Amino acid sequence: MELIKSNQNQKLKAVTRFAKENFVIIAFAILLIYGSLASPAFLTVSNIKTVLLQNSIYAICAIGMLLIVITGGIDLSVGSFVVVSVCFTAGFIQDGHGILAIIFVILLCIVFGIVSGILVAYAKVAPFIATLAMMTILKGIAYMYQVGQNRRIDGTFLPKFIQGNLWGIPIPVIILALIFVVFAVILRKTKYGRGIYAIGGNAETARLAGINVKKYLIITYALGGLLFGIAGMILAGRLSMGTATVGEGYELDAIAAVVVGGASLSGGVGSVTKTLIGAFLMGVLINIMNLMGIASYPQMILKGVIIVFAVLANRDN
Amino acid sequence: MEKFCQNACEISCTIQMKNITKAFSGVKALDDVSLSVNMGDIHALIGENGAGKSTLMNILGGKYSHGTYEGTVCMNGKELKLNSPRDANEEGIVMVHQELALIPELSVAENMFLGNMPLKNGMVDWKKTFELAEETLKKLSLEIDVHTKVKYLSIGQQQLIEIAKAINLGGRVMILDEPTAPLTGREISFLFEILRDLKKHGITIIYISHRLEEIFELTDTISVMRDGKMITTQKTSDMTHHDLVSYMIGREMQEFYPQDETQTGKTVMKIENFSVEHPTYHGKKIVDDVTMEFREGEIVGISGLLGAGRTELMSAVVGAYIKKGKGNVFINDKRVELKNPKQSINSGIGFITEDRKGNGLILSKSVAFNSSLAALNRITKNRLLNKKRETQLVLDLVDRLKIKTANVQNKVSSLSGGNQQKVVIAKWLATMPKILILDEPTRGVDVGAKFEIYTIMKNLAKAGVSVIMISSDLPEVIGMSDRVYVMREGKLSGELKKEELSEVNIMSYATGTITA
Repeated sequence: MELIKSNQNQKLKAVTRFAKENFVIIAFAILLIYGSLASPAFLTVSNIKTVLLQNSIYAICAIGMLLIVITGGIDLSVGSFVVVSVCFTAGFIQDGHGILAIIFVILLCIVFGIVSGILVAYAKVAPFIATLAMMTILKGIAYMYQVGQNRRIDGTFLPKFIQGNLWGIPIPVIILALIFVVFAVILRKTKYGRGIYAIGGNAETARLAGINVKKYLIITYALGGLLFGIAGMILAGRLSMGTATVGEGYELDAIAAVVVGGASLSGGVGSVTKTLIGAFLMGVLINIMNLMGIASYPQMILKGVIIVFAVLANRDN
Repeated sequence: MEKFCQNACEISCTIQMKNITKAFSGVKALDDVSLSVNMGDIHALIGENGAGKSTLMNILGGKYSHGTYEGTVCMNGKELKLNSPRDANEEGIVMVHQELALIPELSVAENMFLGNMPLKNGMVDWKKTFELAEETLKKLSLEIDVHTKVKYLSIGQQQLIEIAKAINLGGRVMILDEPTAPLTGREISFLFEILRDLKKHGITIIYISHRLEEIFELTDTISVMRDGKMITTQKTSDMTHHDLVSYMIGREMQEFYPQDETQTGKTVMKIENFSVEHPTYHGKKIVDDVTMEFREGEIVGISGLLGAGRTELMSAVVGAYIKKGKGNVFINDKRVELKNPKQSINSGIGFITEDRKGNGLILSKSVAFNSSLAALNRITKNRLLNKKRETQLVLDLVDRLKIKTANVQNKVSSLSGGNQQKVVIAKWLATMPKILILDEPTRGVDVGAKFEIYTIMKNLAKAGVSVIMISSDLPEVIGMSDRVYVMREGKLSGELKKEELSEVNIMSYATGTITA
């Protein structure tokens, strides 16, 4: 009798653990089902396309944030990276650099990322502070470069490419898919990926095990810069212009997606798949509320509630 | 029930735990355990990790509240129904935990009164706080400034502050869980003096320890637990070392230290005129002009008191210490300069640190993750980590080291201390070291796992690995080493051959009664 009871107990435990570990996936599935019941417009090709398109920029930022969060850090400068990228991409294209503009901006964002990384790894500045500083520095640079006017790049290669489709799928979604695959492999299958989980779990243990903690941290912030930069380019392409008024609050959305996706801000835990779902969970939620005609202020409240629920569900015990 | 307690309790006994059974999700951690402790005794509670000692003491200490277990707990003839550690404190039962629970950034006095600071008009009465703290420390003849932040104290001093805190709480019954684990010989004797003094004042002490020598030296009565059951309770004077070990492991143990002969080969590592500066005091040397030599197939013990510079020496040699060392290190007669752990791993050195939880393991990660961490190159194929190779490597190690875990994907934090230590060893064996340095390899490890770790060390030596063991446990140093270096205040104070090994010889070099 007792054996049966303990057996049942164990099964129940296993189920609860599964539910907790996959909270974001289950919540996402429920949301999809609810959405399709609540609004006939939800499960249409055009709506799905819109949701994917709208959220791919956020999702790319979230993946960048995830890398940094896994090391136990945080990046508050996501929005500023996006602004810098938007302004410089549009500016360089306007100046006639063509495809070189893309390469310039990518290198620029990687360099800025490396700066954050050096501050964190060598100068031992807390990531929160280092990236807070980067946030205002980058924003300042973007404003100075922009000098007030918007730079239109209508009709150039970038908006044409970004606003296009491949096999009927919007290009930003394809870029996101590529990034997703690449980073899923990096995190799961490379020494670097294993290393950053170790650093987030216990940096000292990682160092003693022969992991080059400083190098890995710098790479992480550089990759973050790269991804935020790519997000900015997509945004420039979608807007067909460079403007310093975008990017507000991107870091917070990215953090929300990462946390809802089960990563721990103390580091060492997190998955690209769940982060992606976390990003889309928020996006789909807003989409459904829009379709149902819910105003944007109640939407903000619900968003906050979801974050709290996700964190509670993800907690051990 | 009240009546039962009165009948069951003799006048002399303070604590009676009767027929205690406690299960965690269907698994019995305690099975019909009874324990009675006499007033004013120092009562040892021993058993391997997982024997149920901590569970039993957590019931007595109020952590597991009344109703979550079966059985009765009485004190002085009155049944106790404790719902929290606070309840237990009010009854005079105080637990001093193994893991130090002091807050490093607060002062000694603040730590001692944490949670029950003396108040005046609703505000903390600082004057009284410091006075009372000083008074308590004086009672214990501890010379520590109560204004000092705890982070500046040695671990030994911190342990003593924990005890002072317990006395402050008005403890009549004190439960000490492995209090001597982080202490040096001198600090241990000091602690024992304090405990004997407390005993004189009628305080009952329940003493959990793995160190059998201490138990014979200190305690009046011994209770042995194994697999959730109480095996025996006897007067210390009626028991021998041998009895105790057999009760604990449930079988006869022929020889505690494996005695295979090993073949010593050529010198693999030589440290020459090696010095390390003190990390905070400029100009002071924490390691001073040390020369040592290590051979294939040999187990070399490095002994000395805490602060003698043993750990600093070895971590500076492998490039893991904050300050770089000066001097020469030769591996296979070639001079090397190891700047970081990565280089030392590539040179075939493994370094098992003394702080398993602090920098040995990543507790939130799995057994597999931890075991392969230092040997990721070995499981890489075409620049990607190969799951199959990893699983193979990890399963081999788990098997070889007899790591008890249901699944290698389980978190290491779910394993017992001994098994956690084996995971740390597994991590380093995975790198296939030629030289393996173990710093306090059996600290906080139960007897069974201790023996297994000794066997692993012997087998490594037999396979030609040069094994270097830093240890404060004298019987261990004597039982395991082929040769011992003794350090004192940063200097090498003596070298002892196997036949010269004795506690007296080592201690005289360690304390400076003899100089080399």
